[in-house]
Formats: sequence, structure tokens, C-alpha cells
Amino acid sequence: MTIHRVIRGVQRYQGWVGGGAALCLLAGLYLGLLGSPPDYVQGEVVRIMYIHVPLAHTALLGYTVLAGGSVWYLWKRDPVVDNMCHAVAAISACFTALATATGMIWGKPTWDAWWTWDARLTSFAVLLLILLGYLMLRTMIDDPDKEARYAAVLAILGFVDLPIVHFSVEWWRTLHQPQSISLRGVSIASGMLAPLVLMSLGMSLLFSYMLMIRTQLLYLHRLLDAKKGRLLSRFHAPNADS
Amino acid sequence: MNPLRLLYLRWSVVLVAVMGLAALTAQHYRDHLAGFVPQEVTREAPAGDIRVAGMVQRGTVTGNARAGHAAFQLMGREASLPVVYEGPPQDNLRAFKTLVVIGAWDASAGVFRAREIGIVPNYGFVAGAYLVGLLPLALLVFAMSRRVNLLYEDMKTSALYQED
Repeated sequence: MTIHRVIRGVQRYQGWVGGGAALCLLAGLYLGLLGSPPDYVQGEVVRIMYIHVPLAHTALLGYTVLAGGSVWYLWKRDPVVDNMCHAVAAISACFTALATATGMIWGKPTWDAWWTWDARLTSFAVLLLILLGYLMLRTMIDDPDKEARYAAVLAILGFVDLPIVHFSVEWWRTLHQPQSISLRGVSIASGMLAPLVLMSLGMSLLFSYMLMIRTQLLYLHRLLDAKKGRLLSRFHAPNADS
Repeated sequence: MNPLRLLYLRWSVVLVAVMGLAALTAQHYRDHLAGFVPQEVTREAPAGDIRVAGMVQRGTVTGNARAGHAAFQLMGREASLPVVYEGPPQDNLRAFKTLVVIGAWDASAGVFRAREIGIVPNYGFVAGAYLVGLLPLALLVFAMSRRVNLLYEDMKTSALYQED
């Protein structure tokens, strides 16, 4: 896989992905804020679900992509995949932080607490710390080969947290409500399901769009750095004056 | 068209759509925001249908809310309001529950006649969550897209590109 082919593909499809994300999110927002009913117990506050749950789903999806990409990198040592993993980590960290923040805002009117050391909340906070650690690690090592290898190992080790996040509401007695959509069925009203699905789809598309943009950004930065390096080496070469 | 201009154009369309949606939402919920607290009702005796927010006082609930008729005191900070409810069956009517009652003040009987009971909407939390969730993402996507376009321009025009 060459980076040029990847960039050409990204440039061809990024407009469609971005447009799809915008349409899904706008339709989801319309249905979530205006078209769906208030909850019988929570009232209007339940509308926070349409932003919090899609953000959290996308954060978990992002980490899954990061872990998969890291395994792929360690196997094939493909720098394009490493570039993508680096891009995914930053975006996933952003989604994880925003999911945590919106969850805290939802927690205040429903549990009367911004934060509690609940199993779901704690494991999700650990996920954010792993992602921040991953990003810090990538800035601390000078050798690009080592940087990519160590980061991939950290991402794979951190994947242990994902099943804990997912099953925490079943393994432990938690304040956080159990899953409404699972293999066992859907326990949510159809009027609430439509905006939730649209927002989740929109967030996943937005994540893909951001990944496309960030991949190009990292690639362009590296390309510019390489070109600057070549230019400087030309100026400073021993036979530069000849 | 210049890619940067195209980017600004696309984001302007998104911004207009979001502002339209925000205006629609504000219009939709405007009526829900207007309301009174118990002491204002007893002091001002407003006419017509109003919404009053307060907490159900412990030990004052009589009747059967699940059958659609009950009486209770709704507490405010300074005074409490006697409420007589006649309407759809209610599960939410219990002591210390913060509620919104919708109905009219009956000055001759000195009671508030409620025909609907709702949960306090907490729109501040909802608006806050949407702003916190969407605004940083939008700013980040815009900044990244703009930066990529600028870097492509930089690559095309700079001497660095010519060297290769």
C-alpha cells in the first residue's frame, strides 16, 4: 500500500463522507431535539442521550480501529498504517473526552452528581488516559521506527480496557444504565431509536471524515519536513559550493 | 473554485443549517420556558393558563394520582401553593419530587387547578451537553480542513516543491 494511493482515495471520497456526516447529524439533531418524545421518568434531559451515546460509541469504535491497525502494523510494518493509527488516536481521544464531558452533564440532573466512581465511568476514564498516554509516547521517542513499535504495543495492551467498558454495566452493579441496544434485543421506544441511530451513523461518518483529514495532515507535515531536510542537506553538503 | 473558498462556502451552508435548527428549537421550547414559582402565583394571581415549578411537600399528597385526581402542596422558597390535580394518571407525584404543574389559579377557592403535571425540563443541561459535544468537534474539523488546504497550497507554491 503506497501513501500516494491512500491520499488519492481519501481526496476522492472525503467530500461524500463529510457531506453524509453533516446530513445524518442535522437530521439526527432535528429528530432528537424536536421530533422525539420526552422520557417518562427523565423528562427532557433524556435528549442528552442523542449526543452522549453516539460520542461514546464512536470513541469505542475509534479505539477498536486503533488496536486493529496496531496489530496490522506490527505484522506488516506498514508506515501508512502507522500514520493512520497516529491519526485515529488523537481523534479517539477527542471523542472519549467529549463523551465523558456530556456524560457528566447528564449525570448531574439524573444522579445529582457530576462524577461518581462507577465501573462504566471509571473504565471509560481509563480509556481516555490510555489514549493520552499513547499520544504522549509518540512525542517522546526520536526514532520513528521505535516510536511506531512502542505505540502499537501500548495500543494493543490498552485494548484490554474495551471489554471492561462494554460489559461493566453487566459485571458490576452500576449507576449507569445497562445497554438499550444489544444482541438480546432493543429496549428503547422507536421514536427515540431513530434519532439515536442517525446521530450514531453521523458521528461514525464524522469520525471517518476527521480520520481522512488528519491522515492527510500528518502526511503533509512529514512530506514538508522531508523536503525541508533534503533542501537543507543540499545547502550543507560538502560539495555544495562546487 | 479555490479549494479554500469552497471550504468556507461549505461551512457557511452548515452554519446556516445549524442556526436554522437552533432557531426552530428555541421557538419550539419557548412556551415551556415561561413559568412561575409558587410565591409569585399567590402574590400576583396571574390569569389564564400558566406553568408553575416547585417541589411536592412531604405529607401533603392526598387522593390517588394514579387514578388522575390528587391534592398536594407545591413548595417554593418563600411560600407553598395548594394544588388540586385532575388529569391523566400520574406516577411522578411523590414527596420531594420537583415538578411543573400546568393549569390556572382559582382565586375564589385559593387553589391552583392543575390539569397536567410534568417533570422540570432542565433545558440548561440539555443545551450545555449539545454545545460541549458539538462545538469542539466542529471547531476541530474546521481547523484541520483549513490547515490541510493551506498545506496543499503551501506545497504547490513554495520553493520547497520546486526543488523536487
